[in-house]
Amino acid sequence: MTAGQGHIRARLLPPARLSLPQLTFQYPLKLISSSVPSSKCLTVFILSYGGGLVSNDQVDLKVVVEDAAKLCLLTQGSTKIFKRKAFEHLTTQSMAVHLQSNAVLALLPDPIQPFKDSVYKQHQVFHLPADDTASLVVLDWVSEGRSARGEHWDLTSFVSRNEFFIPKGEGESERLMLRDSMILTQDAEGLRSRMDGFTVFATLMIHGPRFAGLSEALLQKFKDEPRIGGRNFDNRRDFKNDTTKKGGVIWTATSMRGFVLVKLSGKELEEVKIFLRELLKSGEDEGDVVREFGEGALLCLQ
Amino acid sequence: MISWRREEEGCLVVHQLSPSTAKQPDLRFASAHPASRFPKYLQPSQSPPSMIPYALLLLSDSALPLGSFAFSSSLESYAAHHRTLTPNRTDIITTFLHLSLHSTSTSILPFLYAAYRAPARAADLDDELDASTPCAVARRASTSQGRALLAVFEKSLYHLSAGVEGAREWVRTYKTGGGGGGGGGGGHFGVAWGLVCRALGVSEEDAAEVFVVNHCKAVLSAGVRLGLLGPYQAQAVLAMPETRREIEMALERGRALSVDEVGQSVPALDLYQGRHELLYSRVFNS
Repeated sequence: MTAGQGHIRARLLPPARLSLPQLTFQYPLKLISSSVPSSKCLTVFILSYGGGLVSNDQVDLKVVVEDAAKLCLLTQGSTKIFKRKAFEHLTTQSMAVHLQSNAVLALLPDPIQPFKDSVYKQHQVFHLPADDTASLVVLDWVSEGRSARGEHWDLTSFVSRNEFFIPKGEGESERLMLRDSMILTQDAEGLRSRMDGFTVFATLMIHGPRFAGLSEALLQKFKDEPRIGGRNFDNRRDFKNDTTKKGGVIWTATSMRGFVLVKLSGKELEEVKIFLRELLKSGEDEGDVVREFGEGALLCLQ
Repeated sequence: MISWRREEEGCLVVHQLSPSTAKQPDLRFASAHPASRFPKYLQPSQSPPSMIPYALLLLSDSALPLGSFAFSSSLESYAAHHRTLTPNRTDIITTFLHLSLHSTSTSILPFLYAAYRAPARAADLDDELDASTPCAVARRASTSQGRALLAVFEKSLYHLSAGVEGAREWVRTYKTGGGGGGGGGGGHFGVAWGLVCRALGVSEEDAAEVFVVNHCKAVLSAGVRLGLLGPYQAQAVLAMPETRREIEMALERGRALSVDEVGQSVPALDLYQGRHELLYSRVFNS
């Protein structure tokens, strides 16, 4: 196994015991299982030494969630992307996840924090089973860097791509169901000028029967958002002010090709966290995520 | 028969601008030389009068019936979110134009080039572009104009493709969603544009450039109708060397990316575009 590689295999042993028959990793990647037999799901923390990736670190993680197994992948703190030290260096993180029938996956990491002059590429691919019975909730988010040091989108290049595939048929290639990707590149006029004052961008991608309630609740919540530029004639209150009251978090939810996609952004990371937490707990009884994985799955939002 | 997949994304589907495409293309004039229907003195002369391909003049017309006037490419929502913050309304539109060009270059242009280069694969590319456009409002705006462009091609420009071998077959394959893909031929604007330009014998560079210039025109025209700037100002913005330079940079960026590498380079635009549905009053469909 080469540096930065890792393998996770999650299995359900009938009748109801979850196990990790495979959990291997190589420096600079570190995987820690914090699963206890009584927990609702298997939890694995994806860690890196020093809480981040230095120039030329390449992480390559392969994950298999077997039939009806339930896996929750988390991090402990934001993933810092340090400055590129040499021009030919690549700092990358790739993850390939294979989900089998009725598998359930939550990937709820802390945000990626690309520092000034960093170059980073992240590619996450999710292969859904042919019967389309797997469920997943994936969070991908990025912050502007070390705000306290006056860094605001001073990274050199940042690419994050999430792709979801489903088999077309026997012996055929897979069909791309959803691709959500962000390309941030520093250029002459400055990346900062294109970020519109936002300090964090988050995307939530939800699919499958286990999260149907959450999906529905999120779409409804978006539908019920106050209208922009409208006026509520009952109490003469101008709705324009509502966005400022919420602390400048703006969001949108949409349903496409079997997925529910939520995008949100804000001026303050903390506000976005609070709002994300609220969103993920949408639905009955604190929502599908807490029911399937327990409160611990929302660790990155505390 | 051709049947367009209806998008029911839990939102209002805007259909008034999508012409009915249920009819087969009109082939009446396709077989004979089109000029034969005109009196002799109206028949085209043998020597080309201009270096600009005629099809290109038609495609660059803002009156091309694509219904583009109904879309603001999220300018309306952007302006609504910035009205109180930016006192100068013209600043809103120049900033927005810059953002919009940047975003288009990394998300749509690679598909235009790809469809132009591999017109037989247009249906697959369309499905991939559909999967790569994670914003319902943008998807509707794109398919509405793309389908309208295909209708204009079949109803009005069909005979211009007579000299391009395979052109009609490409369009037919695209519309039926063939080519081995799982797609149903969604008719996204970028793919349809690349395909139609190829079918009309327009060069690749011209096809991409006219697409981007048309995009600028549409944004500025929407700006005029939103009262953000006057018609003379709009023309002046379009004529500015900075705008010209930005268009060139957009083309350059679009050419450099493969369709696997597309993505949103201005993430805030996805949010504004998505929040267009929340505007209390709306002039545009996007």
